[in-house]
Amino acid sequence: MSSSSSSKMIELRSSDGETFHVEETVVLQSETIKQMIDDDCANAAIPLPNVTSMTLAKVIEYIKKHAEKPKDDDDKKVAEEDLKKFDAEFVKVDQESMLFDLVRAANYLNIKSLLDLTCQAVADSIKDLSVEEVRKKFNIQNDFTPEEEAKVRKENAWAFD
Amino acid sequence: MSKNQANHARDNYAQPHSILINDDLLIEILIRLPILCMYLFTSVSKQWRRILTSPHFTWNRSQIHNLDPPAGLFVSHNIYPFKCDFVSLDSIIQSRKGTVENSFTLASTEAVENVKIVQSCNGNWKLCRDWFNFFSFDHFDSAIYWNGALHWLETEDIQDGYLKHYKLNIKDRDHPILTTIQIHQGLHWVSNFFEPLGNNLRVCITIQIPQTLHVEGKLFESRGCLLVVLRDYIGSREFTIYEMRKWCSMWSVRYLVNTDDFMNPLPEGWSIWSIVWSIVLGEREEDSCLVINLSGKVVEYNLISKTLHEIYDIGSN
Repeated sequence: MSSSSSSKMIELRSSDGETFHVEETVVLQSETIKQMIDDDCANAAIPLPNVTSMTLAKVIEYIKKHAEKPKDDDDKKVAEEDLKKFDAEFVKVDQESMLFDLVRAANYLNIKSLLDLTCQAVADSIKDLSVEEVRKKFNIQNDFTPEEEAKVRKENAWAFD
Repeated sequence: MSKNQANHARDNYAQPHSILINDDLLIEILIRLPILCMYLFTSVSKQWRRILTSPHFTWNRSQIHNLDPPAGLFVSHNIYPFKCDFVSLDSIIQSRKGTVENSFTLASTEAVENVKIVQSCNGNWKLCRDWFNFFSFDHFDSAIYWNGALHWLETEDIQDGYLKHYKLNIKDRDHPILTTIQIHQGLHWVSNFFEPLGNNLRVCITIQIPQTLHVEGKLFESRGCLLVVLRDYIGSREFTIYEMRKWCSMWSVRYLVNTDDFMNPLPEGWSIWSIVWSIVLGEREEDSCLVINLSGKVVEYNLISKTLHEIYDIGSN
């Protein structure tokens, strides 16, 4: 599955039973899996009951890309730019639910950079919305009484256009 | 339906609200919102209000360094007052000119010829406008929202070299607290203009500004740092960029700039047409630059490599 012959392969199993083989050096970006390997729990396939195969495939795509090492300093700058482009494209997912899945997976697998990236993407998707639009988008129940809501709005009236 | 789709469809986690009932994940998202949204979204629900108004949240937010980097400059032509060009100052995004609707109501900072530079930073200008109209300060153009309060500089009497650094705490709309530090010949004078009503809440901060005779009179913010440009005397070709880091109240030297470094290599006839318009601290140190108007061209001057890069030609527009 991988072009590298030297690195040890780790087997990951998604919630729906699909297995993925990833190089150990790549998968160490996940603090959760790193811990499992350190604790010697990675001899068999590592079960990831919270991550679907679809999401896991995306996560692996991300950590593989982020594991690429630039050859020299010149290459480094190009690689950095390339990685930024990759990140920007990575969070442009068709289904918004995929983005939320990735937030959850990044959190569960404890991959800091992926959590940063995906949470920022969610934040960017709501920053221009009104309060009502945010509630609708996230299916959030307005649990304020009308009086309470009026009071909260008054406190922050200057922030409303 | 494939196996994947079937699993995906019945997977509750795919629903957005399932990540939002988890406080930890919601905080991770909300912490990355622009400051204005943080106030606006307190009325979404009780959970959101509880998170957004918690002191922990404010503190955690301040630890994210790359929030609110200056996105760019909005260049407004007086002839077409309803249109603005956007000039990106982000090293990642290619400098580009795109016309955007002038729907924001920002205070202008600088007028040169027929062009105005409206500093965008991150939209926080919206916060400033009404407040400063209300208080009718002359120099509100330089105000900047930083570290939970508005900061700005005033040079009231250039002859005497009076310099004040104001801090306006607007967390409580009914009890705004304005603090000022006046610096004159080493004398620090602190006073509160607005006494809070009904309680003894009083915030005085002591901020030391390096004693100088003349100030450009404008604060900048980039990557969480408050920045100011100071010159030793009028006509000096050298100036110093000072920074104040979050949760500090001390100014320290960040960059020394000699205008000869970029003016000397230029052909005869070039001159500086503006004060420093913007300072951008790069994600990497070597991306840090300032923006200045050289003979009608908006130019980015890299503070580390000391190179110039034209980002906008006023003359051609």
